[in-house]
This record gives sequence, C-alpha cells and structure tokens, in this order.
Amino acid sequence: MTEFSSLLSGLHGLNPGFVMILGGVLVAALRGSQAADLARAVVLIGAPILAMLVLLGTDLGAPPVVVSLPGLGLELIPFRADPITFPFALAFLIAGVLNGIYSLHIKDRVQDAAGLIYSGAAVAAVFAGDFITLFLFWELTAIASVFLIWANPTPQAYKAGLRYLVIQIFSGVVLLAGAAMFAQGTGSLAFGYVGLDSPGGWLILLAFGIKAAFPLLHNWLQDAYPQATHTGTVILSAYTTKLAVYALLRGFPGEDMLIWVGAIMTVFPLFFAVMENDLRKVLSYSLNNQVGFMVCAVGVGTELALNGAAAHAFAHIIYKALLFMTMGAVLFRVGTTEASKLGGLHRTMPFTTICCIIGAISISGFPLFSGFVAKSMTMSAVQYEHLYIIWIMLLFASVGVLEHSGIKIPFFTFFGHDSGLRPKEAPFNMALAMGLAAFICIILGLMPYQLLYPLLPYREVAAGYQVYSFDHINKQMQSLTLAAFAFALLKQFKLYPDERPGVILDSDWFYRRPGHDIFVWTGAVLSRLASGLGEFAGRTADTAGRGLTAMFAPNGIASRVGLVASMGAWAVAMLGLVLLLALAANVWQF
Amino acid sequence: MTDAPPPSSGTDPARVRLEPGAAGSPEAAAPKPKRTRKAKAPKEPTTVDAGLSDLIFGWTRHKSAGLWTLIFLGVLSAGLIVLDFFVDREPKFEIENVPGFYGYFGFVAFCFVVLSGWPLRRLLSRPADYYERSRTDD
Repeated sequence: MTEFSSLLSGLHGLNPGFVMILGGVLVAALRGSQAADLARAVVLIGAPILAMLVLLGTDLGAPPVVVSLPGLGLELIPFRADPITFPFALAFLIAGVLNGIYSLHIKDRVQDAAGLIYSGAAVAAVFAGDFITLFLFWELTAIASVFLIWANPTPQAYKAGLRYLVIQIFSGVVLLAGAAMFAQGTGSLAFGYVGLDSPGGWLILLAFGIKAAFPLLHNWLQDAYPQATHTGTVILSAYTTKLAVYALLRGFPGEDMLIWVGAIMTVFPLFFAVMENDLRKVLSYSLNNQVGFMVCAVGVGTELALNGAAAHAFAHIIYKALLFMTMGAVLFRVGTTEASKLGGLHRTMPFTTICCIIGAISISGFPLFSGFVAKSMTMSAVQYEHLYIIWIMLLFASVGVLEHSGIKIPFFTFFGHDSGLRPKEAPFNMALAMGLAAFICIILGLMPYQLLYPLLPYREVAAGYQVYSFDHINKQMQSLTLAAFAFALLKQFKLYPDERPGVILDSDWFYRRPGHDIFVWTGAVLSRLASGLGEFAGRTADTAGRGLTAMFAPNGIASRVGLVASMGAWAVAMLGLVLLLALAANVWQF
Repeated sequence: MTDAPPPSSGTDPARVRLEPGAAGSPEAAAPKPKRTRKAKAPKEPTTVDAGLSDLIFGWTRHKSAGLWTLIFLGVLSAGLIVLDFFVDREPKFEIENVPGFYGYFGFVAFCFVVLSGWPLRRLLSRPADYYERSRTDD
C-alpha cells in the first residue's frame, strides 16, 4: 500500500492522459492467450482508474510543467492543471471507466486500444498548455477514434470513417495554421484566451467549431457516429465535441457570436431528430443540440454561464453515454436501432429500459436528475443577461430535447407497437456500466452542492446558485408535463409521424451529391482531354490509370484499412512537420 | 445503404429475432380458423427479466394504457396551470408573469416540432439507398 502511494505521488505532475495512452499501447501489444484477454480487461478498466487517481492528487494551483525543445527553440507545456481543466478531465476519466466496463465482452484489441488512446488523447489535450501540444493530441483523437468506426465491417462504416477522418484532420490542420498566425502576432504559443481580434483567432475558432459540430460544420457527427460499433459510439459520444467545448471555454469565453451559434445549434437538430428513423442518429442530433447549450453558455461568458457550460458538459457526458449504451445494448442483442423495426423490448430487457428512462429523464432536465442541476445554470445566466430571443430559443430547444431524447428514444425502442422481438437482457458488464451511469445521473441531481458544483471553475458562484427553488421547479415541471401531454394527445389522435426507413438529407448532401458530381465531371473532362493527346501520352495515361485503379479502387491495395490508417497517420505526421517548420520560421524569422 | 444494416462487429451471435408468426410474436397470438389439432397458446418467455418487466411495465400493455396516460397527464397539466395562479414567481421577463406561460409554451413548442416533421419529411426524406443508387460516393 505504501509503495502504491509513493508510486502515485511520483506520478503527480504527469498528464493523466499519458497513463491512458500508455494503457492503450499496452492493450494493442497483448494478443493471443486467455491470460492476454484477462490482462487487457484489467488495463481497460485499470488505466482510467489510475489516471483518475493521478488527477485527484493533482494540485490545481501548481505551476504548469514546461518542457524546452532546444533544437526547435520551442517551449511546450504538456501539463497545465487548473479549475477549468478539472471538471472536463474528471468527466472524461469517469467515462473512460464506464466505457472499459461496457466493452469487456469484446475480445478486440484494436477497438480496446483505439478507445483507450482516443480517450487518453482527449484527456491529454485538456491539460495542454500550448498550441503545439494541443494540436498533437487534437490529431491523435482523430486518428485513434476512426478505428472505432472502421471496426464495424461494413462498406458504409468504412466510407463514413474516411469522411470523418478527412474532416477531423482538416480541423487539426486549421488549428495549427491558426496557432501559427496567432503566435506570429502575440509571440507566444501558450493556449489561453484567444479572441477574434486576429485572423489566427478566426482560424482557431473554425478548428474548434468543426470539432464542436457548429451548424453546417456538423454533419460528420451524424454521418460517422451511428456507423461505429455498439461500443464505439458510446466512446465517441464522450470526447470529441466536449474537448471542443473545453477549448472554446478556454479560448473564447464571452465571445458574443457564440451565443447565437450555440442557440442555433440547440434548435435546428430538433427538426432532423423528429424525422430520423435510426435512433443512434437521433442521439447524434441530440448530442449536437446539447453541445449548443454549452457553446451558448461559453458565449454568454459570465461566471455563472461558464459554470453552466462545464456542469452541462460533465452531466451530458454521463447521460449521453448512458443513452448510447442502452441503444448499444439493443444493437448488440437485436442487430438494429431503426425505430421502425423496434418496439416492445421492455418485455425482455427491463433493466436496459429502466436505464434508458433514467438517461431520458436526465437529459430532459427533470428535477432531481443531473440535467436539471446542470442546464439550469445556463438558462439562468441567459435570463440574468436579458437575452430574450436566446432565452426563447433555449426554452424551445429544451422542449425539443424532451421530444427526441426524452420520449422518442425510450418509447419507440422499448414500448410503442410490439415488434415481436424477444431479445435477452444486456450482458452483465454492459448492464453494470449502464447501472453505474444511471446512478451517477441520479446522485448528481440529488446532491449537486456536494458532488457537482464543487468541481466547477467558479466554485463560490456555484455554491451560491439556488437550483432547487420552488419557482424553478414549478416552471420546469409545467413545461415538461404539458409537453408530455402534447405527446400523448398527438399519439392518441395519430398525428405523430410514423417511423419509416429512409435517408434524411442534411448538409452532407452538398459533398456527397453535387460535390461528388463535380468531381466525376472534372474527371470525365480530363479523360476526354487525355484522349485527344497522342498515342504515347494515351498509353502513359492508361498505364498510370491502371496503376491508380489497382491502388485506389474499392478493393485495391490502398483500401486495406491498416494501410489507409498508416498512410493517414504518416500524411498527418508529414503535414504536421511541415507546418511546425513553417511555424518556427514565422516565429523566429529564419 | 441497405434497408437493414449488416450486423456490426461484436454484435450478439445468439441474438433472438422472432419472425412474424413465430411463437411469442403478436401474429402468433391470432386465432386460426381451422385447426386439426389443439394448438398450444404461445408463451411469453418466463425469465426473471420477463417477471421484472411484468411487475414494472405490465400496465403499459393494457389496451387503454394510452388513454389513461393521456387523462393522467391532462389532469396533472391542468393542476399545474391552476397552481401557477397562486404561486409567487420570480420573473426575469415580462411574459413570465402570465400564469401557466411555461406550460403553454411547452405544449405549443412540442406540437410545433412534431407536426413540422410531416412536411419536412416530404421535403427531405429519400429512399434508404439514396447515396448508393446509380453512383458510388467513394
């Protein structure tokens, strides 16, 4: 015990994300025997627990750790812990433990390793004190997480993973370009308040906006997340967008534009969620909507609002993971999450049903659950700042949350018409993870002053906030009860749209249809031009074309996942190196 | 995209899917006009999970559960609106002084979101294989 304590004290000052990344590398190396499977399971749960112990022993007032790179003349800050980093890191690590338990039944070291490295990279990015470190872990989250999508062996998942990777890598490249321009202006690479006074600031905001899934930059989320495996989507839901919220909170607090961006984000996904048949896609739209509340709070920028953003992110990570876990359990047992094929599953999956209902109640903001004690801060902050239109938009979005996540998800899966499906209850490890997440949703709602508010960046403001006033509860119950009454009324009179299979067009249509057509048209024009050239040129083009086809055709050499992944990683590494050199040249004028 | 997505990696190999007409499915419960032998009534699984489900959610399977839920929520909603006439409010905006404002807003907003699904679906919904049909998007 004493040795363990001394080991832990030796780890203090270490970025907890490194512990998880090392765990991921270890898991990737373990293969073969039953003993290796057991060791993998231990690392899967043990790494986030150890990282959490390191975090809990961290002094939030300690000076940041600075590492000098004399060769490049750079000073990196791989570890900077303060009250803003703490709630995000803790929520990420709790999600890491839950994900580990939820994934125990899978004997897939690629998924296990990718999950640990992805979550570790997100934690490490939260503690990054400079843009270079942030960029490295920003890109690592993208590269590691795509394997969770590719682990689903379908052509759709493969293509969605490629689109996801391109967009996520682009976000990192924009971040590094923005950081270079920002550093040129300020002479510092430290990641603190950025603002929008410089072109670099705008580029950094764009990079964060892509990861946060701002309106029109959002569709990678609904495209890719529902294509991942039943465990992969749970892991994906926790990190990428909340890392972006953290980055916005650090770099752009009080930026007025974010108030409107966030408010629009809360509203537009509601209309897609009501039409969507795939319930994991519905939850992805719901994720978009919830992140909107956080972005809006960051834009408001008061201490109460920033507390609201952090509290909402913390609670959201748990209840959204819970909802994705329940849909993952359904996918695992039944093979689909299409609402039109589900219904009546409460008969044989009662525990999953109860957990889903708890997640639904939490996200809807019912008093005594985590969503209520978190989201209320943002709503109050908007009211205190007299932002009338924004307040109406957020109120409208809150009702919409009840519609798609509070009612649609549990009703069409576990109740509604009887699909005739009688699957078994979720396996023990999945049920345990769901049960723990549900418990956290309840306990945070019951004891916010003891468990949630002390974690927030501005603790005195949080401690003084009256969340359980009669007026507050009365308003919320009125809104939710009459909305639920509207649902019952619309169902009774058959006015609620039936669930039907199909694709709902969204902003990805632009690059999947006209963008694709332009690409094909350009290719055809170039091909005709080539045919007008001489025989030699034609033969050369033909040979090159055959070579390219062999390389890049759907069944070609480059389509092998491992090769694509390693090529992607090398491309990023090369691109990063070039940009680093450009950055160094900019900063030191050589 | 196919109508039914292929099973993802790690899906339960022993998953249970009852086809229409199979024992335990609703179609199987319908009486058949001619019987040569006395058929056994279809049985629901009698597991601990099914017992727990009966205990907690059994009421939802009643024919008039939807109607009773509607009545219960209607009465509760009316009660909350009436209560709002007698409570002290802490309004930040003028409109919050209207008794029952939050309730009316919740009702109208919910109906608006749901009913907008009808025209929006006609506008934006496409067949499941829309992106795969007559072209590849890779």
